[in-house]
Amino acid sequence: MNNKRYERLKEALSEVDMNEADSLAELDSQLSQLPPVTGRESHKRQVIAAMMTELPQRKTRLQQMLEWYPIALLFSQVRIIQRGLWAASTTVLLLGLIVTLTASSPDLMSFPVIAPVVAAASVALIYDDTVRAMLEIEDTTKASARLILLARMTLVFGFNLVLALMGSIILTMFDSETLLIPLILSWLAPMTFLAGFAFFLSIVARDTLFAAGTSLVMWIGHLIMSEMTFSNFWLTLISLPGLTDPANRPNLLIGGVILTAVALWMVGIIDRRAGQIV
Amino acid sequence: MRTDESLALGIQQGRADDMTELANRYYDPLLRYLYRMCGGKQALAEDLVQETFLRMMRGIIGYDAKRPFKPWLYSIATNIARNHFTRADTRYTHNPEEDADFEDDNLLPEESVLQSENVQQVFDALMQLPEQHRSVVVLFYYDNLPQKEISEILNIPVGTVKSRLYNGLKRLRSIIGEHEMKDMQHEQ
Repeated sequence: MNNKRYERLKEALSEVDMNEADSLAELDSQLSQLPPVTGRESHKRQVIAAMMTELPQRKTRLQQMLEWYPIALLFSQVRIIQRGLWAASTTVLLLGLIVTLTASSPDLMSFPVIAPVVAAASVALIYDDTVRAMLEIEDTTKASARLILLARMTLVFGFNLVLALMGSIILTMFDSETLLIPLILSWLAPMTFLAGFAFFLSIVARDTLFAAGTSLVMWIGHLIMSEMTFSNFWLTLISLPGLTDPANRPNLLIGGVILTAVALWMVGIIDRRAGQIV
Repeated sequence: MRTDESLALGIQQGRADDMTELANRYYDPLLRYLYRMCGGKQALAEDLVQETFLRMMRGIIGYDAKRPFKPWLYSIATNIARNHFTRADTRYTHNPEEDADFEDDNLLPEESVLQSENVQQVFDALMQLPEQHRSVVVLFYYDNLPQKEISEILNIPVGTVKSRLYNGLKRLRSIIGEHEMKDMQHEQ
């Protein structure tokens, strides 16, 4: 009798029926008679050879990276975002770059002026009137509307950021007096804030054109009014004096991120409500 | 030593070494399990082991490495054994021509005969158990698996594992008792 097995069996059986546990555990003397079986090495090799034919193909590092969920989500959104958006951003920034390079007095149409408003307009357009379509996407994928919007925001803002960086590098190459880092800082903070604001507005108002237009008016209004001096408090406030103030850049960057986070949080709420209605 | 789950992940990424290691790790335990599940027929058990490993390979992409690997593999083996008996529509009846494949070279001829008869009797009794009872008895008694793991393999609550073990053994006792009774009558 194998004592260990017997005791284990008795213990398990006593949890069901204490009275029968002992007599049933006696079966151990019969059950333990079964001989051990050992596999044949040749058969094991044959099994392994058969398994080899079913082995999944080894993936390259690039394939593995592309299948990583956040990357896959970003790629899926590249196809969904309106194609015109990429072309429009590139064209406007390219024009801004050419004007900056060729104009003798590029004060108003300079590159740092154009970059923020292009980003804001593009970002506002990612939350278009396809809230219903967004829900449909969510129903068929494991990504929530919030995650999908974040992916779109990352793509569009990232694309504009790369374009603006490339433009800044080109500008500093042609104009030796312009320094790269101060140039980048001059557009990065307002760009982040305006994009965050436009995104927030597009979700609150549920109107992409309104959000893009408001950001544009706000930015142009600020540029025009910043050339003037006002004694009236309200007019000074409307001119948004801090928008291009170098001292205010950290606040603008933080403000842009907060507005984006709040907008995404609100999307989750809208999404849940819509889901309940659906 | 690498965990089974990490080796399974390696297979998902196409690593042949991980596949070989996992096969080496589980070949013997699966053979022992299936050998007892199919009444001591080694050739049949080997076929079922091969089928288990092949089905594991076909399903490995869908395997979630957060779940323990062993119950997943054993549940494949159990389903394969179950399907085999369902497909063959085998209500077990003892056929001497299909007796279990075993022999012990260390025993004297008469001891060997006696032992063969006893072993065959246990295999017959096991095979007469309903499959759901047999799998619990084999996994618990012979493969020494914890009840929690058996419940994961068979996808049943732990309480059901306990009751199947109890009822299975009760039934086994009466089957073996009947066999012994018949043998005694035969001898008389």
